[in-house]
Amino acid sequence: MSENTTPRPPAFERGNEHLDRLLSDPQISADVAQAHAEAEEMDRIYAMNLAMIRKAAQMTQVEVARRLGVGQGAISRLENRGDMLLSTLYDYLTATGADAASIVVTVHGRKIELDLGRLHDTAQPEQRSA
Amino acid sequence: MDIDWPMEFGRWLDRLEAEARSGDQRARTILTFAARALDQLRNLTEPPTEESETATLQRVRQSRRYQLWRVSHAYHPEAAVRLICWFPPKAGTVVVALFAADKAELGDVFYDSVAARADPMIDQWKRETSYEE
Repeated sequence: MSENTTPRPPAFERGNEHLDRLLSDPQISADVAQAHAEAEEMDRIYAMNLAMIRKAAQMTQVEVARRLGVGQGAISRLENRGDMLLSTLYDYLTATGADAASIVVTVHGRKIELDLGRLHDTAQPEQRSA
Repeated sequence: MDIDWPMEFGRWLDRLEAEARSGDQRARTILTFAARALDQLRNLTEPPTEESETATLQRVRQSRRYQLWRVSHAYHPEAAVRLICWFPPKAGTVVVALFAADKAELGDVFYDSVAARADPMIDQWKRETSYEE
């Protein structure tokens, strides 16, 4: 028997109407709306990373990568990294065109500003790997 | 966007809905996150790119022949629903939702098997729609 004698049944369907029907249920719709709100908050926090600065500079990852002499993938990973050397942070910031990069902390009500550029300049060479 | 999905996926949603209506709280949770993920995809105006990744819509690093994406949701102590989908290049406003699963039950092993499961499904969708890249 040839495999071609019986057409393969369609496996896919358009789901739009099915989804509309699901979301027309008040309970499901309310549950989904709540889940949307929580997801949007998660996305908002996620977006508060280095990419915000790059986007403010209207630069792409490729452009920043070119300035730093690395691949675009390295910038993508850097932007999503939870931890990095201050020198790496400084290099990234200056590559986006940022100047006067600093870290500001408040101690006992008093603001203290650390100049990232000075920290960068005094870092030992072996401490400055990306 | 328009959403295509396997008929089995539609039946899975139907089962969840029936279980949720009968009072199954877990089914209700899974259904909520699956429906939310689908709604998020439907509300996209264009396919995502590497640069437009968000916490809830990210590329699947373990993709093979096709660049897969996964939709997630905010942390929930009892469920981690992940919806796997594919955006046909140059197809404009169509997203192919492939399957969803509770990663909380499967752990990271889930992603190891995603491409092996998704790629043949995408092949099938391409055959059915005569899609050519």
